[in-house]
Amino acid sequence: MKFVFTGCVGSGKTEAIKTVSDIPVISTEEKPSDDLEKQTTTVALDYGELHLAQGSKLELYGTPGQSRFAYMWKILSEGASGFIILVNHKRPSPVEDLDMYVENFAEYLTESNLAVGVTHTDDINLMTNELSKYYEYLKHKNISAPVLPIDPRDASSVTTLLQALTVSIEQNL
Amino acid sequence: MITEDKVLKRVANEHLQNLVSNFNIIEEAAIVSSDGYLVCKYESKVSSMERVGTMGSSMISLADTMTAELKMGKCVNLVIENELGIAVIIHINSKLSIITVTRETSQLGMLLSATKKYAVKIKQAIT
Repeated sequence: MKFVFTGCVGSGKTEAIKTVSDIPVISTEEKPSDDLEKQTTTVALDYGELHLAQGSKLELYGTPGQSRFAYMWKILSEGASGFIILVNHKRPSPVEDLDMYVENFAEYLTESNLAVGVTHTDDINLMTNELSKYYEYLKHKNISAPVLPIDPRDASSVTTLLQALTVSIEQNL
Repeated sequence: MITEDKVLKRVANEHLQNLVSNFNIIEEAAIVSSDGYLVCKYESKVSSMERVGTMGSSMISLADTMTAELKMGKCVNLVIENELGIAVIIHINSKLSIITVTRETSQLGMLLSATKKYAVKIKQAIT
């Protein structure tokens, strides 16, 4: 199964893939020219694999965050079974960020499943009411998707999100 | 930010325009930052070199990744031969790359040699 991680710059896409991948991650990171408050930024893709029982695997692709790389979004989305949008909870308008990616991936989301990972939270056990704005947005868009706070540096946290996505795919089969 | 460096942009643009005027096989060209920002361009009506330039930064980064995987040192240049033309992408330095395009399919040698020559010239001029 192919899963695609997307979301805004600095939301933790590359980190999440590196955290759970069972192979050395193929990444295309370059120094940012602009002040992104990070050392590197993805300019083409990240690729990792998570090996599952019975020899199957999840192929994990990460997109660049910036919209100038939107051509990569389309390339990487082909054939994906699921999408993970990571939202940086500390950005000024995280719901608008989520909307930007939902809109841009809309044509693929109609035929696949979505999970939303909320990153940069002070508390990984975010109260449900803090996540409600994301659920309300998704409800408004008529999208059913799990929304979980995650720490991209923590394997169990990322794995939980992947499991949630896998479960929603199975439910929709 | 590299694309806001007026001196660098002016110097890079002067060299790019010289390259295009000295080698008339080159129909389009651009200099882009390694993270996909356009520094300067020369374009026809056929393509948007801003978009092609960003694609070029993705492609040479991917080529660098592949080269590292193969343990072949650094990627020197990337040649994309197509049915109707050729594109070449070359690192100027760790922050910039140059992309040139011709629609004359028999001119790979000339395109590559001219682009390499100007990549060195630009590197020297901005260092």
